[in-house]
Amino acid sequence: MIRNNDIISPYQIAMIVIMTIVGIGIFSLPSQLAETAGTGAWFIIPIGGLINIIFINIILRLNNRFPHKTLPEYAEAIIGKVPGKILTASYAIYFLIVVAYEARVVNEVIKAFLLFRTPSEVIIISIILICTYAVRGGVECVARIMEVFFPLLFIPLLLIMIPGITDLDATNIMPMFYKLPSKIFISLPTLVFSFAGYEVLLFYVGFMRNPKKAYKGANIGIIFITVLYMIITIMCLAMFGVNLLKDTVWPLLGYVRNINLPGLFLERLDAVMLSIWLFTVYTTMVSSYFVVTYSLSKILGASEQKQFALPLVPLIYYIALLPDNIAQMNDMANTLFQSLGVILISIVPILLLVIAWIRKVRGEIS
Amino acid sequence: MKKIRILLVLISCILLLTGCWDKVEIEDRAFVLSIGVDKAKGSGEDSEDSEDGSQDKYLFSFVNPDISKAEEGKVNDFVTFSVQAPSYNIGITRLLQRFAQYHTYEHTKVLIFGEELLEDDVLLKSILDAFSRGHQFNSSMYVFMAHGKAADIFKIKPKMQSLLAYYITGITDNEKYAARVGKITLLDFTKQLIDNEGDGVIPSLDPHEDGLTSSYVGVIKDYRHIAHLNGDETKAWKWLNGKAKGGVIEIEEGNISVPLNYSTFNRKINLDKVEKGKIYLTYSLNTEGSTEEYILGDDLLDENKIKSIEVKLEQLIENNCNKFIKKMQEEYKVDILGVREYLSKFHPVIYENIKNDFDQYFQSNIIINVKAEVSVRRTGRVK
Repeated sequence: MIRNNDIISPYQIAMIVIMTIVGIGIFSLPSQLAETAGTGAWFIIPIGGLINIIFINIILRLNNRFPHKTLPEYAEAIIGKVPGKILTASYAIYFLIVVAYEARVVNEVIKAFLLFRTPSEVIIISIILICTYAVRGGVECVARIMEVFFPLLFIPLLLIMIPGITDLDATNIMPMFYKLPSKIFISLPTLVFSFAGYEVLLFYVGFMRNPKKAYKGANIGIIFITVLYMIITIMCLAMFGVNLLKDTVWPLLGYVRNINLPGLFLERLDAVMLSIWLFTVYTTMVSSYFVVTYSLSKILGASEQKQFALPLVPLIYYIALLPDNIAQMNDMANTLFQSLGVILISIVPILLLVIAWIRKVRGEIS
Repeated sequence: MKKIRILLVLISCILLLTGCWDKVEIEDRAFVLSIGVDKAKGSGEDSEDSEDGSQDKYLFSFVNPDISKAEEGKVNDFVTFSVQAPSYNIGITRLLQRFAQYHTYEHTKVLIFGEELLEDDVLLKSILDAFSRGHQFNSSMYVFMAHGKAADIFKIKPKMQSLLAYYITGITDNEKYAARVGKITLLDFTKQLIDNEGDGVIPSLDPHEDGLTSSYVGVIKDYRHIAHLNGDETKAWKWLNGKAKGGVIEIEEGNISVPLNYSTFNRKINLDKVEKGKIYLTYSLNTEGSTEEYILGDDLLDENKIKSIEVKLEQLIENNCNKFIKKMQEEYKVDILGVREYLSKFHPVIYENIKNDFDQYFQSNIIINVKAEVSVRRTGRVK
């Protein structure tokens, strides 16, 4: 293996954006949107994509002001040493909870569909340990994982949806624009949450040789996800109809479960779907996990982030086991991500940019 | 040092990789091919002895291939196990007390409800929930009702086919040649009931001397089976819902009957006008096919003759449909014509206004006009 040189290419930035955003939400997004937006669900997604493109460009603007620097470094330059460390710590805590939450959802889904008797502890610990292994490899390793998994994930994902097309009823997406404006407003929290994850760019763009090239990759990433979400939502809507879709917890899995392949050589496709989905969750966890260890190393002034990965395992495990059941887990996640998430994704980068602009702080341009 | 390391890795491999909690060998799996659900009569032999136990509500029948009679990988017979229980999960535990294998539903093809069960809305709702909530069930199995008990269906030994479930799926596949055959998956069935607030149809399976026959449709209103459609009505229902995939329509011409074999049947609904609180809908039915039965020596390849056959066919379709619509609006008072679906999808503003008392509205204020258009395209090999 070639030794890390800790440089990320623009292509890898696009992969990081896509693989981080596409996570657990992909299973439940259609039903959450159907709940708030009804049949307009699929049309609301581009609006969400547009909003998020604005925020991702703000983040990139901030990063370009401080080339070759990550958030822990330039936050100290902008708002001072101690507040900068506190800000970095809050990002670390947020991503730590993200990792724990994802681990818990993985556990819930796997226990419901694949391994009924396997103890939760085993499932959660194993997924966290696999992530730890990747994170110890450093930033380049993380970026390469995204790069390698991208085709492995999306080609089968789209292929597996195709046999279901015969069962679709296209009229289910009607009425299209009925009462749309009021639906947009109540769907916003779901949309923000389902696109959340690109805030990792605050950290990753700092590893690029030429951060200006991040604009293209990141924007392509968001557009790709918007299109992907739209395809999935339209297909689920056409398959289930809006009333049934609202009641389904994991519609994408239900979609695949309803496929009946003729010829009987593969009777059920949901196991394939679940393994694809595990990839998506794994990549999200890895990229968030790296941000946690990296922030910790910067806060404590360590030169390597490696040694922080393993000690965090019990903590993540503990947080993952906090909610009692799925309902409580969803509640906790919604309140946390919709408050803290929104602040860290949109408000903090804007504030940092404004303060940096007022104080005329900027990074050295090499 | 290196040796100790290797040893440690090996030991941890043994410890970590052998534990598999969810291992079920294929010999220990019992593949359930069909499930039947009936309403229970009294408490059965499996009932718990405790007095405060809940009443048995369901009688479940599970059909498994009989592995003892398997030859060269082919299973030639099936066996049925029945159990009475207050709910599905209790039923399974009771069954497992006298069963050597573990049930697997990945290959379940058919789900049959008994007539009595369908007459009880609470039971139907809770068993449908069990089948759509349970992670082990697939939603692509076909749903049928049995005239009488579902368990009786499983006593039938089909001719030619050795396994009943594949026999039934074979019948459903013939839907594209015979319009009266019913085909509805569990997902579509639940979707239909949820979308129409408890109204819908369920195809029925009836014993026949050749095995089984699927030629009627049961009507469900408010999660309750209220009536059975006859042959003509079943066909009219399929036409009006655009679900007919193929079949035969026949008219009398002199002493012989002239059939039209169709393989497409399109339906389109149009909202003509809303006047004085009444909604006028037009159902345009469009079909084409070939006529391949007539009188020997008589020439069928004649524009006028074909025209007259077409007109007769159109009248027949329109009459059938009108009769059916009238019955639905006046006698059964249930919307299984897709009116609600059409209005909610394409005219949400109108639907929003009448949503709350739709049933009332459907009976008196929706006027449906049927317009059929038949084209006889081909007449076979003889002139």
